[in-house]
Amino acid sequence: MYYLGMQKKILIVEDDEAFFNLCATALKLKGYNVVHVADGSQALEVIANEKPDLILLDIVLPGMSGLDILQNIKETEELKGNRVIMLTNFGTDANVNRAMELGAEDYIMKYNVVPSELANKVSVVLGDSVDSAVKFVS
Amino acid sequence: MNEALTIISVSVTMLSVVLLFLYVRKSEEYTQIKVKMDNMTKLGQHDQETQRARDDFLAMVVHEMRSPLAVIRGSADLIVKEVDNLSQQQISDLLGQIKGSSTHLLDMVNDLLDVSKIEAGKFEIFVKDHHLNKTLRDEAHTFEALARQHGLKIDMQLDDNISKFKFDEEKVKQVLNNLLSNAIKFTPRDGTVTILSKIQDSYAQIQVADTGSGIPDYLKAKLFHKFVQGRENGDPSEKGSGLGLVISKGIIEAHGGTIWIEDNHPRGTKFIFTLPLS
Repeated sequence: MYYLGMQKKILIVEDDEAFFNLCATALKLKGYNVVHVADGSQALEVIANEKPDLILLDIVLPGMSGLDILQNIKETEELKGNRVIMLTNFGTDANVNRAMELGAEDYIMKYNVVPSELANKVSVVLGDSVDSAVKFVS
Repeated sequence: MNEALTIISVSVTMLSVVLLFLYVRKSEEYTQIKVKMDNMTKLGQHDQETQRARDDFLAMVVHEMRSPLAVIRGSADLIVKEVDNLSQQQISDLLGQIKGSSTHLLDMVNDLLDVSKIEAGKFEIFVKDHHLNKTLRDEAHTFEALARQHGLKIDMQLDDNISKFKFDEEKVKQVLNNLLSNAIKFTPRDGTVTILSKIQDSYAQIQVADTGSGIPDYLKAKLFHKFVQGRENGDPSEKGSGLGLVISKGIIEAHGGTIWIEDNHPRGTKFIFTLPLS
């Protein structure tokens, strides 16, 4: 499949390499451009540099927790426009409530979602995978 | 594609075994917890700590199982739904993930089974004559690449006077695997992991020392107990089952030896265990 136009960019902040690969494969199949950072302490810098259209943000991360990263995003003038979906393995009410209070768009239970559903959820938030939706199927 | 189907079939079979085990195990745990909760009003502080540690352990087991299960299910789902759109490399990567996650689950289940056997006094060892120093060298060789990746060196200080004696080599290797992987995980770059052997009275003494940040005294006493997670300064993503040291203690005690922790001077931690020479 070929795309004409700017592919939308999704940053996945996730330290579980296998889960990242899974998400990345599913999202690339839908035509999204996927970038990755595994270390929480590097996430804010990568967000500032990459300017993603959407961030999938894990909660339990080395370096800095996903909730702290989200709080930093929402308190920083240049970053606060970023749209964030939280990834969580625990799904405790406290974590989810805190994330939604801080301004996350939504959350995904990692163990409860298959990649095609994840890609669909992203599509609902982001819309088409390219800005000008012209695709050629080879 | 036949290979792919074989791997998926094996994975699904393993998954069934894991789920069956989990069901049995969780039923036991929940029963224990329920009984405990019924007696909660009578509990002292120590019992409440044990209860909290047990709850944490159950949450950890569920978390440790969920992550690889999610990867297995998700990878299989992608292959089934998108097989025509995925490249050979992508399919191969996804199958590799299924295999890796299945192995991780199987290791976890084996650990839980070992702990159950240790607690029931049914843990068995099979001893025969081995050269301890050869076993230690083999283990050091196995971990060399991992140590290099972490920017560490492995130093060997072996006593050549130790001759053949009877021990269960496979089980002692299991102890060494646990101690060495922990030492490597918790030692910053440019550090050293030292493996030492010597004769102490009628025992062979083995030490695995690291130059990491050490273990606080209050944790040292608890580390060999079930339900207690290890060092607190570790990467949360690298937390293991917390059963490795419990199993190591069971293995060493089944040999008639002991295992304990000391500070490694000037920095780090030293795990020491003994094996009777006769």
